[in-house]
Amino acid sequence: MDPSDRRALVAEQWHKWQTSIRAYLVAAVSNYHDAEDLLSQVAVAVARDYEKYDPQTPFIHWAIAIARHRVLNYRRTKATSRLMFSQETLDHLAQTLPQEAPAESAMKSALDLCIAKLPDRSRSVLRLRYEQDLKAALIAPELGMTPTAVTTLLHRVHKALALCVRQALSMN
Amino acid sequence: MIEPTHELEAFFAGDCTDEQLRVVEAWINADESNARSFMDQLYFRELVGEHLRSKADHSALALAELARYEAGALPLIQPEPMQGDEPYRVGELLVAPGREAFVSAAAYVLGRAFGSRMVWAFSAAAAVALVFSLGLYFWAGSFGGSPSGGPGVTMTPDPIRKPVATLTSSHDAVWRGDAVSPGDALMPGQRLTLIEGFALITTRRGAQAVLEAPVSIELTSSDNGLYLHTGKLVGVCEGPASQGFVVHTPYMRVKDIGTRFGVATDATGSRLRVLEGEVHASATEYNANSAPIVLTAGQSAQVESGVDRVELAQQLSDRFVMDLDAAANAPVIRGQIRYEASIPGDLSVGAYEHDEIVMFSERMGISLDKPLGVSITQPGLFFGDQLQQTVKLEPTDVDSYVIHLDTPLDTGSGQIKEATIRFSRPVVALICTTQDMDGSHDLLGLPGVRYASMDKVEGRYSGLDRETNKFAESVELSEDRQTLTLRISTGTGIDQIRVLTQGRPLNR
Repeated sequence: MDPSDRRALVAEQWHKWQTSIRAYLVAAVSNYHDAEDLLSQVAVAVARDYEKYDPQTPFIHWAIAIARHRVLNYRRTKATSRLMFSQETLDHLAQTLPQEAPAESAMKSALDLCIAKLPDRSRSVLRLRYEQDLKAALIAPELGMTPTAVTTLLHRVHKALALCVRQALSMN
Repeated sequence: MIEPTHELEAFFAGDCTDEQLRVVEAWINADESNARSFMDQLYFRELVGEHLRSKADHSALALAELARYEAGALPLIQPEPMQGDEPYRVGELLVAPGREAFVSAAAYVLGRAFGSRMVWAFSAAAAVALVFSLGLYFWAGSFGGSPSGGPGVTMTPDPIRKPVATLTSSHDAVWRGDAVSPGDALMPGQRLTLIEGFALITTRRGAQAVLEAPVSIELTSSDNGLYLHTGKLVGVCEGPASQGFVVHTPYMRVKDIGTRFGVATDATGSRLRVLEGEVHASATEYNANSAPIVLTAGQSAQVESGVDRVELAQQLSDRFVMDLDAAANAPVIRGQIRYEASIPGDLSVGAYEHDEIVMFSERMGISLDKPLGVSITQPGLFFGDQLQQTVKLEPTDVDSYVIHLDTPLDTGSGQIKEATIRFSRPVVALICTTQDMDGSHDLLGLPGVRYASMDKVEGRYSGLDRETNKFAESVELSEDRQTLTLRISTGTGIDQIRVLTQGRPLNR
């Protein structure tokens, strides 16, 4: 394969899989900020070593192996008191990643519709959680709720959104 | 196990205590479907978050952040200074709100990542999407940090670290840096460098690692694993809870299915020998074909530096101390003999030559479940030509040693080497004939080790049972069974005998 074609393939595959890879990194380091840093490192490694990628094998396996290497390095070098999942659990989780890239653009289109259907308070909790990156303890006073109630609401909102998105996709 | 909703949401929010994380982890590992559900939920939240953030008005976000700062609720996030030439540290580029900055950053990242020509192959929209996809949330607080809460806000306390292992025992240990003592708890991230002696570490799940200096290891967050930076260790898993013990090295990942393996690592790569049971080994370096391979007792494998796969190896020169007792409770020796706490992989004729008799610690705590053919079971003085009859040793627990004399050819024949060995436990049997040695390797020998009698030509006279005993080779076992006196002659051949002492309970 021509190097520029391979590069384009890797870039395309990265775009399809980066959310899954970030999810793995979040599971690995229990910290979104560090997961973002690691994702950037993985992106650079993927881009730098795109010639090593064998198009016959699933991209996600190759990328996750790179991510795994970065996670191991992170765990060795980062001084932290935070407990994290064991490597065995992480490997177990990595094995559950799908073989086919998720249809993210369709899912995001469905998300727009599904979020619009949510009650005001549910939309507010999502906005505070993701746009302003607040924890439940800081969301609670904004909405006049307890932190526990916020946690429960977030759980229900995500479940409802996931169901709505699945239904929207199945209808298309 | 029902889904731990509250703990899961705490994890997804980055707000998880140690105890909550353990609950989530236990749920994940309880069933395959739970693991899939966890990743599905995490993926979905990432998707929702990415989607919402990409739609957010970042100017408004910056103003909201500033308002909270002015109200004393949160510290203003300071971008990290760029260090050297790290293309992924782009935070400081994005101090200005607006999509123009994101496009600039996208161009920068893509330019570094894919080469400048590639940048212009992407449309601006794709570049922006890719930058958002890289998750550059610069108005985000750190979930791992501890922002000062505003008045009246209760913050979640930092997780409390828990030990993941204990230093169980040591022998003549000299540590680099802060010394550790038997009984000390070992914490995640703790690095131990042993520059002399031996040590035994036990993980929270009961797996053990016998360290032999010089060696450097690091404890990870796992309660059943560790990282071997350099040096060697023997991993031991002898209980169900301890199985799955994992050792990572810079080149290899080894998972012990049960029960014992040795791994060594240095700048040239990592090498593994399975001493008992079975392990799964894979290369650490990223590779699409990095599925683990299964190795059983006697097999060896290696990952060389620069090679990204595990390769089977015929023989490794690395030797491994099987048990701390072998080093810490060495028999007392006198005369023309030396003691070594680990046995080499090749003891065939000519493979391990030395001017003196060498005694190796072979294996500890062997449980013989059937009678074994041996040469001597009683105290007394025995000459080579008297050792023709095999006698039966009834089932019992034993520790095994190998006595070996293979002098270089230029040493000449007929030189008598004399030695006395005082064991800490009674000798229950001696195996001195070629036939008896050959018949005992299956039960007592270390898998993968090549013994002299296995070579039916060169090793056919590798015991003390010569047809003519002109050199009067002999062994004498004292009345109390703890002292062994040897008279063995040099020659063109090799002499190997096995000593079985009463088995000791292994270090726990």
